[in-house]
Amino acid sequence: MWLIGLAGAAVLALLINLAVKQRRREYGVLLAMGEKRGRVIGQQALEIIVVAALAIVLGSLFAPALTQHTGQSLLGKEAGSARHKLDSWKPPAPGSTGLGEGIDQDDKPVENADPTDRITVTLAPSDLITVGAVGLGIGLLATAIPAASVLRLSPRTILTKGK
Amino acid sequence: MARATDTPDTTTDAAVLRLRRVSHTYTGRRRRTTVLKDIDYALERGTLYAILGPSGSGKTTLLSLASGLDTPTSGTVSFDGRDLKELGLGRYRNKHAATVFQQYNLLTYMTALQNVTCAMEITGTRPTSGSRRARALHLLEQFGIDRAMATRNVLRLSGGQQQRVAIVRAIACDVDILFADEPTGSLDEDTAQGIIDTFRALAHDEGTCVVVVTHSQALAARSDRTLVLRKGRLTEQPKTR
Repeated sequence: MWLIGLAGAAVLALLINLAVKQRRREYGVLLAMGEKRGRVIGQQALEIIVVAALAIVLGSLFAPALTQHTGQSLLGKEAGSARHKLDSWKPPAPGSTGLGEGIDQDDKPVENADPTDRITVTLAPSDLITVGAVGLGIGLLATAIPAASVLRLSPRTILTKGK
Repeated sequence: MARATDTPDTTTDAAVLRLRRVSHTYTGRRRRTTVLKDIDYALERGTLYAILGPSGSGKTTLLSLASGLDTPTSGTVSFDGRDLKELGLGRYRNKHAATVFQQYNLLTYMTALQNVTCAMEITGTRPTSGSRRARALHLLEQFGIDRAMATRNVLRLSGGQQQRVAIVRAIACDVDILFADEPTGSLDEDTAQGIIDTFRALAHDEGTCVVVVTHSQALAARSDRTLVLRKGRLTEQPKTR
């Protein structure tokens, strides 16, 4: 799970980094007009915050239904397959271990068991908040670092090399 | 125009911008190239300057240093008696200087009108009458950009129109010094003459110091002072009568 999160974070950071670098010339023009560096970074940060807020809201609306559907599709099939296997189990003939007939005693259904055939996935608000906060943090870092590296240059350098 | 001003120069020197022993060297991976050598010159208010010189002579570099887009390797650039480093390059570019770039450098996600009003907002320029939008439209119209074109994205304008928008963007900010790098390069002769007329009016009527880097002898002929940059040295060319 952490690896998947890490991969997602890397992709997000790379995309934002590329987007910021594409705006290099814009930074140069704004600085040439005397705009303050802090305001340029602030503008970028505000854009990220607005997009992140929108993403969190949309995610909150659709994530519960999507995760339930996806969880049921993935794990529900496994549960259904296991249930079929249990239902089709037949006890060996009296006096026989069943090994010669390919019957595994370990597969014997547990008596009075309540098999699972449905997965219920829930997303706690704290999970959404955590994911949102982590995503926002990654976005802000991925914005601030490349933006700062460009904005430390003189406007002339940015404009002549920002292609 | 309502604009915050810095402490005024208390000397009687008419120079608005002074370059003292300005030199600039580019450091590459294998070598160092000095493009400007000990430049000493004072630019005065109400004067139109043309800077001529062969390609690669450092004209754009000189313009960049004088307009605060970069700092010289050595020497000082002073505005109204104050070193730009002390004044703050950002503040100098915001309040006192504007540059018209050879590549226009317009904000491509904006319309022509937005490019001009955005510059006015950033520099805090407020017209004495009317709104920024109204003044921007008026100026654009004076340069042949009508309302329909002004509300179009700049990428949909021709090169000559974009150059005019870039000029209007600089003029609209009511600065003390206007720098222009090849401002008539993409323009036809009539339009180029109109631009020169505008620069002369800015200098002689508004008291702005206008500095133009150009290859155009026609523009140089109509300037008040012609400077030549050759082998890193700046000299003034006497006006022929």
